[in-house]
Amino acid sequence: MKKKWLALVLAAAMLTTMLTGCTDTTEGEDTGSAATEESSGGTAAEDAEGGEEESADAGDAVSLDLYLNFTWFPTDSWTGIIPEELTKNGGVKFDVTRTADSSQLGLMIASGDLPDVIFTDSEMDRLCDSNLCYSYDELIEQYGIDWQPSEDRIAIAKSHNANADDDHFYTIIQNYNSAEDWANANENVVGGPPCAYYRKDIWEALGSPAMDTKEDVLNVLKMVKEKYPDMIPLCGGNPTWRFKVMSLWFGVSNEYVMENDRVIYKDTAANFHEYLKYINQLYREGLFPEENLAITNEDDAKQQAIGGQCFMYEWNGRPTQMAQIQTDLEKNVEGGEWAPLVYVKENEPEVSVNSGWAGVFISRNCKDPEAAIKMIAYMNSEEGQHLALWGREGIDWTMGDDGMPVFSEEWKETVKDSEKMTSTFNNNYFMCTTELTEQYTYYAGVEQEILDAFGKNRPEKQIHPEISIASPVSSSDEGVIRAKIDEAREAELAKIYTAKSDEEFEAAYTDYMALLDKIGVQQLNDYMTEKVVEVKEAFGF
Amino acid sequence: MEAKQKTWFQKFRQQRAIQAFVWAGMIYLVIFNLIPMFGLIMGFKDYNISSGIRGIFTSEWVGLKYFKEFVTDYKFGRLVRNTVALSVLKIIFSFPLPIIFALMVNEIHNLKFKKVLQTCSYLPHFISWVIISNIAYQFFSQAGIINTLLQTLHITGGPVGFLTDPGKFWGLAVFLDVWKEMGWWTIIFLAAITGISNDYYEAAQIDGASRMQRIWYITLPCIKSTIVVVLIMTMGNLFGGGLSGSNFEQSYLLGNSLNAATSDIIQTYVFDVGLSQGRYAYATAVGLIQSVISVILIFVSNFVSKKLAGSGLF
Repeated sequence: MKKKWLALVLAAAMLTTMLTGCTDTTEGEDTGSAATEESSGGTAAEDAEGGEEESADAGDAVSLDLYLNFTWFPTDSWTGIIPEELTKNGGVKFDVTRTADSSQLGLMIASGDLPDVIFTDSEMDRLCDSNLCYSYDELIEQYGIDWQPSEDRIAIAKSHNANADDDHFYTIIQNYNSAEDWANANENVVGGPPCAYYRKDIWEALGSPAMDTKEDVLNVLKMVKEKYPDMIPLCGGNPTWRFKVMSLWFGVSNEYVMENDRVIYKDTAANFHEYLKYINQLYREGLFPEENLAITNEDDAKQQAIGGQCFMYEWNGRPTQMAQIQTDLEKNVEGGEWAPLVYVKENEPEVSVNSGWAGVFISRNCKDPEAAIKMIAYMNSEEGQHLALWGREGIDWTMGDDGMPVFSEEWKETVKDSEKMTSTFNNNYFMCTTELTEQYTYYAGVEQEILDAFGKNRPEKQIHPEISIASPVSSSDEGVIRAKIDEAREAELAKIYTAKSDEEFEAAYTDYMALLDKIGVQQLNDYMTEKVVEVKEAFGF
Repeated sequence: MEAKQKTWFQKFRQQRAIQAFVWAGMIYLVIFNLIPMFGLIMGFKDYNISSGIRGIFTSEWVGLKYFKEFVTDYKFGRLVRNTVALSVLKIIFSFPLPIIFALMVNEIHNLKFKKVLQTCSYLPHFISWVIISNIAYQFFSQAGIINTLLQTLHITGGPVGFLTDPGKFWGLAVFLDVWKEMGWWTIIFLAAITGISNDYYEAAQIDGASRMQRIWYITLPCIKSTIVVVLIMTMGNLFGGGLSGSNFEQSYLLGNSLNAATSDIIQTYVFDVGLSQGRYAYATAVGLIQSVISVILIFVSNFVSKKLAGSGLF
């Protein structure tokens, strides 16, 4: 009898274990207060255990999950001077999760198991949906938040709406400044183009050969290959920045370019063939290894740069980031020195869509949407933006006469080491900041020589936010075409880049163009050309 | 009739402990395998995830729109070719090798060596594909151990693109699959071999049968039914990667833009369009096409098995 009971209990246990997956983990609004109490209770307990450093304000803060949908995000912790101050002022303490791969958010959307707050640059079309996320405008009204984003920012946010008839906005895209803002900006600041950093110590050892033209750059890379055969002349491994500088030289760096009064997908632009030819030439000269093209994690490529394995590395064009890879390089290579490559003379004008690139979303599962929108509103305020990126006013920075912050000595010393900067200040939460506020962070207090070097990288910039607003949402026919192009592009470009002869190159290029036509790129080009005109009329750009 | 019912209940009562296990399994099957099949109607509808589960039933019917889209997609031919080729290669190499290995292990009389060999061969089964792909990168990259060895021994003039050359992906995938799973599946066949009565072997020995003859005329025929069951199960999961079901993991983890011409398969495509692009209806249609082909393959292999070997799964 005992055995039978045991068998029954085991069977029940088996069943329960198997059905655990059926548990609905989605927490509705009504769980908010409980969750808040729970988190407060947790903090109180920590205080009781002797956590004296925990301020009283932070103890009262609401604890919310924050999902960072970027594998490369510099931090996965809401710790450091700045996050603690943001919590004090904004009332929310984030429990941060950084994504392990780019498809995780898609899985969460599919399962309906979204975290409280999401910061992402992908899946935005799907998150701009009233079934998945709260709209900012409704929360602002419901909780009487004193924050009214500008019309252009709302328009940019609405352009991502899953349903074109939906009049709400579900995010405010960060990193945006109007053309007027840029016109009034400090002249030393260059708006976010990529930069090719090169090893100045090696370049000098080669006799400081000229790098004024595309041909010059090619020759220098060939010299590096000859004199330093164990070194990779050009690192083509950074998946975000791969050959971006070169695409800028040929005027095909943005997704859409303007050509003969039409807005067309960049791969169909006349210059694209020349750009590909140049990259193929780099490959055929053995200036980057084909395995670089298989790297999908930015950190793997960065290791080649800071480990002294490559001569040229593409990354964000920012003085402080150069200082950081400099600090990292010095740990591995004695006497190693990075310098920014000045753009080659025959640059094509850069078309900048300048409408930001990522947004913060409050999911319908959010435990406390009121606290979330209050925090986001605070982080969008001028005070919140300055705190998030520059630290505490009066302690870490004061406003200079040129409109840029003047940082404290401690800040200036710490910023040279990215790890130390993250563990001490942690000014990585650029979730709600503008591009100019961010650029001032990187350009303030930089030596004039470095400023001049980066300043030369200011191409003739054309600002067209209408292009971004006109981009089709993913559920539309044109959105599907765009997704199919993205799906095919990487593999097709890899074939063209690594073609072994002119004939193979031309054949691969022709195949790719035929494929784009088959997918429907002309339909996308027609749509964009018409839509941009409509958006310009509607918003007065 | 009443007596018959009583007997049935009595029987059930007697078996209630065993029945509890059976019903646990049945409930599991219904919840996780049967009910989700209703979701297949998504493949025929203009479904959007934001409409939730209700949307599966309320969204507009679109007939075979997504099926047509897939078969006319530029990737269709390549995806089908890669899926079939990779799967067939795995059947050819991954299926017979555990049988051969089991026969070889069975002939080892040194028990200690036999145990060590078995343990070493099935241990890789417990390593996840994520770890194995990382090991593969360390071994097979252009600066990896294998390439260094090949160049040091002057077997190749330069590095071989094991991970980047589309022509090498299938070979690499099959090799890793065999290395990882062969030992594990050997256990099944060894268990079947262990069940063969020693009398057969003794009788054969008396009749003067050689070791190869004993394997050929006794061992193999006696484990035939096990081989058939495993073969049918393998055929049913042909597109999943046969015995190990590793096609997706391998293509996802070892595939890259350089070897995409051979590493893109239907499963990774479904994952991309379903989760990355959020086109659930389309992904469902593509997945359904593959499932239908798999079901047909099960019936065909069962039929062929019955005809040739005289036994089948059902």
